[in-house]
Amino acid sequence: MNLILWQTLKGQRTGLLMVGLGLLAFAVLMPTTYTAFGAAIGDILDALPEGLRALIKAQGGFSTTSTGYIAIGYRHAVFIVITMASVIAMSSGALAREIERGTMFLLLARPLQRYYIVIAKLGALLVTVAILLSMSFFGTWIGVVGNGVEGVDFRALAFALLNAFMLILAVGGYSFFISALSSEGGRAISVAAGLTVIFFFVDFLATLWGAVSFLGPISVFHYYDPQAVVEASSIPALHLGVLGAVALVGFVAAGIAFQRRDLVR
Amino acid sequence: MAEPHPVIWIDNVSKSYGHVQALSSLNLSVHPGEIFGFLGPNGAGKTTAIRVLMGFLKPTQGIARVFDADPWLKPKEIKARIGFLPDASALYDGMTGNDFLNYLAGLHSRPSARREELCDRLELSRSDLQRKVKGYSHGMRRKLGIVQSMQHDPDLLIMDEPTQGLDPLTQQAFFVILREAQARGCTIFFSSHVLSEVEELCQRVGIIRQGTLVAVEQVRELRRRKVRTMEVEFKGQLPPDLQVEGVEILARGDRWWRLAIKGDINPVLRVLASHDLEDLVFESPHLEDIFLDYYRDESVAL
Repeated sequence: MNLILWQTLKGQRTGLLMVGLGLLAFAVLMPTTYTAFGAAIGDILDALPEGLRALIKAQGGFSTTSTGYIAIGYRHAVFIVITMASVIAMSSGALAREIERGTMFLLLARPLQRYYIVIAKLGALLVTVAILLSMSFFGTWIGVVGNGVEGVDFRALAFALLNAFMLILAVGGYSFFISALSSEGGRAISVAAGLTVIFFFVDFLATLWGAVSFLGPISVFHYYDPQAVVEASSIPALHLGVLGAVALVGFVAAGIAFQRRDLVR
Repeated sequence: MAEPHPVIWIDNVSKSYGHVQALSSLNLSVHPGEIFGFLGPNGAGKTTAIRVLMGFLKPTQGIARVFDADPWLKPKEIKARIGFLPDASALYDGMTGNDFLNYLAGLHSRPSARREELCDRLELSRSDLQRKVKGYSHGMRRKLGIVQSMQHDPDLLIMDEPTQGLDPLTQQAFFVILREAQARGCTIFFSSHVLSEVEELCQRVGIIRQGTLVAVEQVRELRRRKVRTMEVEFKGQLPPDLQVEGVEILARGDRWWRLAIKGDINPVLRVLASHDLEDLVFESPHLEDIFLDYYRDESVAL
């Protein structure tokens, strides 16, 4: 298992490095911009149209502290797009791409159980996500220390990143399941990406428009609110539970589906 | 003496994808130490049958056994003893040849005792193996595939179109390697649509058409049953007629006959021996003719 996990990580090391550096640079940027206009963040957000504020969940009780400002970065399009694209590409491609290029037949010609491959790929995903979010956290630290930003609550930011970690796992869970059913990496990635975009806009519309607010809980993004997390310095158990359950169900379903399916290209 | 227990045993196996019937009531057994050729054109069902044997596909109906175990339910036990070469040259392009072989060897329970010898004989040099696979030619990719399938000296080799992309010299080297593996007790099951290689290598062949096995025979038996032609040129006068069972005169000239002979050739040879002959041409039947017979006549054996 270690060999497949290690080989998977090795095969994507260049991409992982580039994405990690991108997240790190973006994380450095947030404290840096705080020193430029962080004090005016409350006024800036108040001036934004409601739709834009809903995009970053910045309506209502929004923290205008340095920690709250940095947490905006975890809801920013750059962070969301980079992390979601990475996890979808990796999860969706994990099994389907190996089938598509025929290398899965080489792996399964060895004395291995199919679930062994699923677990190894899942392990590689967890390591990747942990590395990416650690780089983001490290970037925040560099930005804060380098710019002398005061009053930053790193514990609260760690909780916000834990919330991000759980969201990424949830997306990874259903993406993995889609991958386990598919024989084409590209198709699996398209379906998982489409589903994620739908989830994002369901949450956005539910946040923006009261008439459809009841739809919010069906989206995984409903359970991701870094501003609220840094404000409370904790994550609601329900949010952790739902995201964890989606991830777990996705991964287990992927394992079962992959164990039972026919392998055809 | 009792029949040896088959290494591969397929009993009434069918496989369908929706309305598409890929395999239909396939029955087949392959015995220890045998080289078995699985013949058929593209799309006939060869790869589907191989994937059932490898536990990649679950049969819709029937039973498949490899080393007495169900490959769908007990893949791990079986695959410790199998070497497998898939149909396409599916490799990890970002790896070097060495990394590729090390990676797959690391996932196996047996040591890669034969790797160096195989690379030497298939002319995959050390410098080739240090290059990334994406720069390999089609033939080199196939050689690397062959090495990965045989490096751990398996008890059973399952190979899907193994000679695709190999030049004639490498093909001959590969056939020698297969014969040596057979001599060590390895059973070999390989599919092909190249009839000459099956004819050269196999003791028995199965011919599959549209998912149905239309013949499983010893190669020599298939040849024997084939209607063959013989051209006989007489020195003197032509005999008035030829009354031999299974022999028909297809054409005749002033001093020659072209005969169609089915079955044993000895009766006709005895008759011809009583005449003075100028020449006699009797070509060995090629498997290709037999194979084409099965494919030409849609009604054969169905």
